[in-house]
Amino acid sequence: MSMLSFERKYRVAGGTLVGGSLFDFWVGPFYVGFFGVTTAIFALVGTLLIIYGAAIGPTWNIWQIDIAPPAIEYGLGFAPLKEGGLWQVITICAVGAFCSWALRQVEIARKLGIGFHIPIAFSAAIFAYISLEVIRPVMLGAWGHAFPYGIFSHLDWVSNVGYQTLHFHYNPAHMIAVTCFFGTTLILAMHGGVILSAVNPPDGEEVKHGQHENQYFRDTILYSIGPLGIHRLGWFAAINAGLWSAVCILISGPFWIDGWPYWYDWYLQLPFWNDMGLDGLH
Amino acid sequence: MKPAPEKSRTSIVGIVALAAAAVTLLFLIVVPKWDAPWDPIESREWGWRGIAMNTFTSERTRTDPLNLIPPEIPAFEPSGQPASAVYQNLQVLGGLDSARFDHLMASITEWVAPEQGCGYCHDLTEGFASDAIYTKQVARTMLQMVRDINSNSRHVGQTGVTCYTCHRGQNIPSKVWLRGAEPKPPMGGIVGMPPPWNRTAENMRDFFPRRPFEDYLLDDKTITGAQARAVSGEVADLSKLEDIYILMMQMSDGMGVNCTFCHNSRAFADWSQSTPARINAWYGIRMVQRLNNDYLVGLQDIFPANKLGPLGDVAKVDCATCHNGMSRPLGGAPMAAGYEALHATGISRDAIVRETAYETRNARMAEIQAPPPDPAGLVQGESDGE
Repeated sequence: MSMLSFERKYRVAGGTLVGGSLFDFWVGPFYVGFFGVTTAIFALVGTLLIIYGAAIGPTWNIWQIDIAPPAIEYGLGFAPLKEGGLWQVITICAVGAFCSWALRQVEIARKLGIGFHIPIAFSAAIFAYISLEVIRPVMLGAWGHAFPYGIFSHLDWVSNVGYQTLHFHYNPAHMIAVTCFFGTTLILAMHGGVILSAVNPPDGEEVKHGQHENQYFRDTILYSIGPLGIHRLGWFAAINAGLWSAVCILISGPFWIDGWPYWYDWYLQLPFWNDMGLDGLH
Repeated sequence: MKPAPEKSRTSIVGIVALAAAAVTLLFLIVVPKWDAPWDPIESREWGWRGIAMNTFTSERTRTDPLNLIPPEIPAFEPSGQPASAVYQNLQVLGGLDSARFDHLMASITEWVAPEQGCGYCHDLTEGFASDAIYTKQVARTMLQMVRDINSNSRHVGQTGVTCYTCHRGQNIPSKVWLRGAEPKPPMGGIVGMPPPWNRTAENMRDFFPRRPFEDYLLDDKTITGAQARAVSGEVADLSKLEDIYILMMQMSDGMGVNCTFCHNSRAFADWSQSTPARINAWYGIRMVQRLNNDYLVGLQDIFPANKLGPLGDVAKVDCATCHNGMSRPLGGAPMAAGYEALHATGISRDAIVRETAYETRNARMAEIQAPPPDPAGLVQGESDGE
């Protein structure tokens, strides 16, 4: 992985948040920095602990390895290593690694003198993870409400959390999150499609540019959001997908324990229905 | 050339959109009946740790006044003579000590008709023996039903039920079900809902057809076949699936739990991944079927029309009738303790095998894990010739 001819120009010193120039260097193509070091340590310790957890567990079947949080009876306290303590340490490592990675993105953005849009976007994903594993369990009073580290076991968790509120698709914040997830992929597909089509004209045609791309969408859907706008829109939808995912799980349990279908009873119970004199109303 | 002054980015459209979003958010925070983590929300775990088989209660669900245990009615000193020597026309409780009989009658009044008193069932001008008022005949049947439940129901087990378990001081239990009319256009025909759902519904449940309750709480239709199987290519019958879902939603709601109280939702049908509570629930469904068929449907002709449903059917029980939003009615308080007349005559409590489903399962698990010692002293697997 040799350096590109012009790449050295962009490898500038400084911009670090922590550690000054101590870790301000590259290893091959990889910028290290203080947060590169912490990322590596957290990721390595966490991964090794997962392997340790698998080793002391009943199976090496990749699907069935399960490192579960403590039982609810432990509340928000520490649990013995084999009864969820391992999960607690691994979670600390995961949060540490994810946050280190985001701060490393900040340092690189500062070096390059660009905005913080990438770490901001990544933070939405981290926030969703922390909501699931830390904030919601704290609000419900037990680490046992967090999801386990295991392929099948975390799928069980997802399914059961959905059925804790009888039908998760009625969760209004889940609806918004899903809309944003599908929305941002639709936006990327449309954007990718128009760019690829503009630069891949039929034989003998010239490569097309911005106005052709704009005109395509003006013709099909009356409006083109433009080359900058499409990225703003996709970024906005993607971040909102993560944020509303966090909201939808944070309200499931801490703020609503019934079935989500019943949430909509407020509409049926609005006070003015009785005053409207509708036929059949009791 | 002077640069043009920067255009103000303030836009009336933006302000209106922001205000609309703020009003919507405020509305959605204030209007629905949210719970709050500082209630506090209390949770219990029913499955292996980490797979979220948890149920929750909140302040809102814990403080239903109907779930308060009523003050105990002090027992009377036994009189030493049977009730049949004091009262006439005793068809069920004639052999009971007359003071205990009086105590039971006073209790039933408190449980079912505290406001109307004795006159709710007894024609006080004709005397206590008269069966003139229909409620007396209903009460007699209900007494037989309670005695049947306490003597024979695996579902109820040691806890025992009284009139109060369902009635909670009301003439008619607050949670019962009635047949719904067939959907007819235009009020309900389009989406198959019981009419006039669009005008009267105050709860999501009012949108549901009553067919599942008729099929599963009155008729003994099998509650299976809802889960598609990818390997065998078995396809779920979607209309049946919806019926089962409606029944199960009623069950969850009636008991203040959710699907994971009994099931690991990954494999709803699989008993080996279910909790012991599912066994008790299975018995519960059979008990409800029996109560509806053996006791309540038979009373249909006795009730006056204004106490019957829109299709002229008698009010019937489901899980919520007794449970009223708690996994164990009244928190599992042994309401029938001290009322020996609420257990069928001639059958002593101890003589009846009345394990709860949980105990049954534990006993069976223990049998499987530790086979009983062989009386012949042979060690299993080492016997010759077998």
